[in-house]
Amino acid sequence: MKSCMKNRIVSVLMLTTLAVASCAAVATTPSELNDLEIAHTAYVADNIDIQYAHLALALSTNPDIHEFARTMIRDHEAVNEQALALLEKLGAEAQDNFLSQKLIADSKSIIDNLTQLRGAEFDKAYADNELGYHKAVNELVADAFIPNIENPEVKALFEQGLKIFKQHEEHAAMMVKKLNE
Amino acid sequence: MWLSLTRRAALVCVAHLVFSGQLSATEVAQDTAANTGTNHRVYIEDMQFSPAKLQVRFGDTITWINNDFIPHTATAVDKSWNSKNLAKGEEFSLIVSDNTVLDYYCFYHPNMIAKIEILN
Ligand SMILES: [Cu+2]
Repeated sequence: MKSCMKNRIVSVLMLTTLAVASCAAVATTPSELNDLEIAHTAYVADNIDIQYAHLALALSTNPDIHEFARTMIRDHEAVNEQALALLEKLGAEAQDNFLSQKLIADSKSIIDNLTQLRGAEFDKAYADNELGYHKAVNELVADAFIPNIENPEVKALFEQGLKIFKQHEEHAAMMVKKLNE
Repeated sequence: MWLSLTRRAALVCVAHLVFSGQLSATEVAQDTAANTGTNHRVYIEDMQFSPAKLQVRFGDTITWINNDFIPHTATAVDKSWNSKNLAKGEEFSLIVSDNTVLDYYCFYHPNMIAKIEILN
């Protein structure tokens, strides 16, 4: 947003339309995403985790894995409900972007791999993936999203979300440790 | 002695009713207020029990209130008492007796742990 502004000023000074065109260019790094793209990415990230959880409920027989998966569905659905309500209140619509597309593409290959596994092998792979996934998304939310979100209500929701997802990360770490004992 | 025993029996009975869902949390709170015991509140907020360490006396009532938009529970480590699912704004009350298990957690988020401390 800021670099976009700078470009526009430069373009006016140079009296060329070239820089204006670059201004409309899409974000290519997470910190360049606007609020609506960030909201959409988080919504997609939530839904991916819900999908993993449904897979775990279908393929695992481990009660700890089931309980964890049910918590993921319960919490991520609640976060998404809040996010949708907020977008509606703001009269905004979430925007598709490079990062949400990448997350979806990555999740497809992860789901393909997980569906091949059964028993303890599945449980371990699911738990490892949950730990890694929450870690990665939490870093993204803390370092790239929250510092760049402009709308205070959207920012507040992400701050609350981060507290929830950090708890999930710790829970996943506990699960991984227990499965390796 | 007889009085205190009857009182304890009555409290156990009330606690039982709460668990079996025949009496609402507010009714119990009012009942205890009339009888003596202090009412304490524990807020479940930002993925934490607050206060995480609560000091009470036997016969006191503890009410847990969930202020988060995601559901939580307040559950004894051995599950001898359990709020079950608490959606946002929902409450659960417990009267503390000498056999109340004091360490508890959130069944959904096992890293959320807290305890009751007895002052008697
Ligand atoms: Cu909880």
